[in-house]
Amino acid sequence: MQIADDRLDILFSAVEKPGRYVGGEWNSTAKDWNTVPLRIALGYPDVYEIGMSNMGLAILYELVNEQPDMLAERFYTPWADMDAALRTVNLPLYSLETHRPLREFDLLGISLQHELTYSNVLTTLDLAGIPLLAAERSETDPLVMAGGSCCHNPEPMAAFFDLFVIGDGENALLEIARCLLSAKQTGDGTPSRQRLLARLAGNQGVYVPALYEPRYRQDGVIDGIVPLSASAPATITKALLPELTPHPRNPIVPTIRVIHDRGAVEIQRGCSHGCRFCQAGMIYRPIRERSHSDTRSLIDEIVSSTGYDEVGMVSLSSSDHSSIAPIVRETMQEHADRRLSVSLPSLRIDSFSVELAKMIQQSRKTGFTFAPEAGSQRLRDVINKGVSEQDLFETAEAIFREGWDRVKLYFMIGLPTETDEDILEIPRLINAIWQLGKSIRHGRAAVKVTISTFVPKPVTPFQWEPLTDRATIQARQRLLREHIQRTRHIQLSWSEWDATWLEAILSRGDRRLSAVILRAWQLGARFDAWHEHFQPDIWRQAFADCHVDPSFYTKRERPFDEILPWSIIDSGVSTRFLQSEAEKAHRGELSPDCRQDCHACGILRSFAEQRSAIVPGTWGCP
Amino acid sequence: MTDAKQPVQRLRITFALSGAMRFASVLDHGRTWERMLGRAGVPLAYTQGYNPHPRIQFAGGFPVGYSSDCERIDMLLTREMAPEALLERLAPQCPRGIALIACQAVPIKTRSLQASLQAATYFVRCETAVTPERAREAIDGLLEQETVPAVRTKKGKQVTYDLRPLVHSLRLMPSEIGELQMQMDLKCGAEGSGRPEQVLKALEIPYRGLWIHRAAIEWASEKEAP
Repeated sequence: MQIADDRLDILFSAVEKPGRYVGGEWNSTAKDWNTVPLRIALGYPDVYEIGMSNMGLAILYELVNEQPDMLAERFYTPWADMDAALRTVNLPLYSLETHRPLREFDLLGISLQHELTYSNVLTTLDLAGIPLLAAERSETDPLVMAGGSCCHNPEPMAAFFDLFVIGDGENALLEIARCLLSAKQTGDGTPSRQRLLARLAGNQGVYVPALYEPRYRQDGVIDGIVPLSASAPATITKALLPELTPHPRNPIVPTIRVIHDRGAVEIQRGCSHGCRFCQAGMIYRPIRERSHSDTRSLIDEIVSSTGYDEVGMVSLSSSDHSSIAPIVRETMQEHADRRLSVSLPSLRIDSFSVELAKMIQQSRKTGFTFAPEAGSQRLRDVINKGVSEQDLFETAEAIFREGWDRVKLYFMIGLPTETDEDILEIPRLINAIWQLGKSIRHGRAAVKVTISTFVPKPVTPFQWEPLTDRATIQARQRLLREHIQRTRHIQLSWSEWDATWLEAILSRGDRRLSAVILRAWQLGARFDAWHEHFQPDIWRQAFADCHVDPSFYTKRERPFDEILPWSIIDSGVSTRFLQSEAEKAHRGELSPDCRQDCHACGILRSFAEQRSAIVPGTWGCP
Repeated sequence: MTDAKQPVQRLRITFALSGAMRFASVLDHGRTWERMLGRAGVPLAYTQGYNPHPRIQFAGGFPVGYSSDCERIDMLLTREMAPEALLERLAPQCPRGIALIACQAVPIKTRSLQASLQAATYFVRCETAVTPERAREAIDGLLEQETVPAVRTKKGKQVTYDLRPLVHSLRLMPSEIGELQMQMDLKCGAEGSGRPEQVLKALEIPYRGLWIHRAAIEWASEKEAP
């Protein structure tokens, strides 16, 4: 039943940002509940402004709503004030489109993109009145499903989800929805939850954690992950979308300001640079480029359906798209009367990117962004970031000469094999770029530096590495602080150790962490990604209460033959490839861009069938 | 960039607010209208400079939660359009909660909407235990006063002001049990605006739910324009 408007109005008046909870935005779709047989609620476990900026959910929302026999509505995690307001009047969390309690839907899909949102999943389910543990849900509860990049290691959240989708969600979600629909429509009533999940477990990319049991050795390392039923496949191969579909073309236009307040067109999925720290570069393989003409027409559709004055071209490396320059030029010409601006995140460090930035007059205020990631050439070779110091200085000089005052620099510390000598190269680069800026832009030059701490991620060549310990990280942060020139024109920001520590544990954790996450949530963990809410002591307490040693996850270097928690997930990239990249990293050997020279990562072997069914050349692989 | 085009026409739209749009701030309304007008392909004039903005203007803020039948927006166009044509083109682009009521051409140089605000009529409904009899006494009491000191928070500071001159009239209307409904005619404009919430506070009527509808705005007549 829809929640009465009057009851919600009272809540809206009581919270700081009611626009997060009202719904009704342009292009949002409220289908007729009673005539649509399958109802899906899609959500992001953080506040509206962040969740609304997620492209994956926007794609799936539109895809589902294009199906005549399905509907999709949305939800996000209410901020503390709305959380309290809902509990005070005893109202459940509801969907934004038709204000229906989430528990009336058939399926909830939650996007997991960041480990520090995990506790918000519990908050969200609890507010919805849905049992937190999958094992405690009844036949009348919705199925609770996760998708998104974190699902490449689903284990820490295994207890809370009935199923995970690993890989591209487009076809995978529709296949799951079709299964549910046919189950609903078969004559002998709804089949039991268990039977349904067993059936779904056969779909590509679907992982049903209840069908497996990890066994552990005396020392805590996984001994094996045992399928408990004949319907549980031995490994789960990720779902792969062979070609990008034209979505979203009618994206929802939020009324309140959100993080990415613009139209977005995904111009490319996947990346060929093979940076060894980067999970996205591994799990989104292969490269699938949207063609010049498809991109152009999608942009036109988005602009006319939304009225946005800015369009972002989304990809992991915008400068790599084979037609990016003409696309940008033509788009700006076409929509000149509307003052349409174009943004290109993730530009490479080279002269071509300077040309692109000039074309779009990119971010004159916020600055041109460089991500050298490491200070020394040696360490950049270790992480396979194929950027030379010469590239960096030439690009920075060009940017300043073209009239930019500000540049942004991204570095990571705590990378494998890193020494103090590598660290000292970071201030040298920062100071030199600042001097360069000052000599060209004079007093207007400004450098903004973000130095984050490296967290080893699953499905990367660094998945076996330990997290660099707290003392070393803090000593290196001090060292950096001492050597970076003190001027108000250089602005520094750092990762906080406790957040890094928790992210590192949850990233490569196993199923035993579900109990810890539940305990931390019970103790009050909320919005851990938000500085003002994050309470690391709660998490320390939760580890102690559950008798789980966090250093097992942070401090150990895993041997190559260890059974990792995500070993049953087949991302298409082979463990053998990751291992060889890890070995090359330690030898400081580069693996150049794989569009020219295939490094046999395993994708082509895993998905040969899918590739043979599409137009040759669609994938970036040679 | 394109040549900066000069405005040739000012069109004024009157519109209604309901539903989710009641909770949009003035900045939210600005973006919403920019996008509506963009989708409709209306030839808007832009400000000059590095960061051009479309030349649209509202009468003032949009108090959070108010519904309305009488909001206005002014827009400058670079190509003349018949007011009816603009309404026709814009209507399909309105999000739920915005309804177009009227459109008229006004002189390009005219008194701003903000400066034309005189007074507004509100219909107020609140859930309260206060009885109509008690409310009537409170209303009569307030209207008899010469001055009604009230306090509001302005930039984090408590400011005392006189509410009485901002209240033109108050009228209790037939209400359901457990509710009160009243009509309030309050001054609004640069020298101060009466807020229905402040009036309820001065009447000592506590409430749980509160619904405020701006039914009419009195504008300075065009003849008085400089």
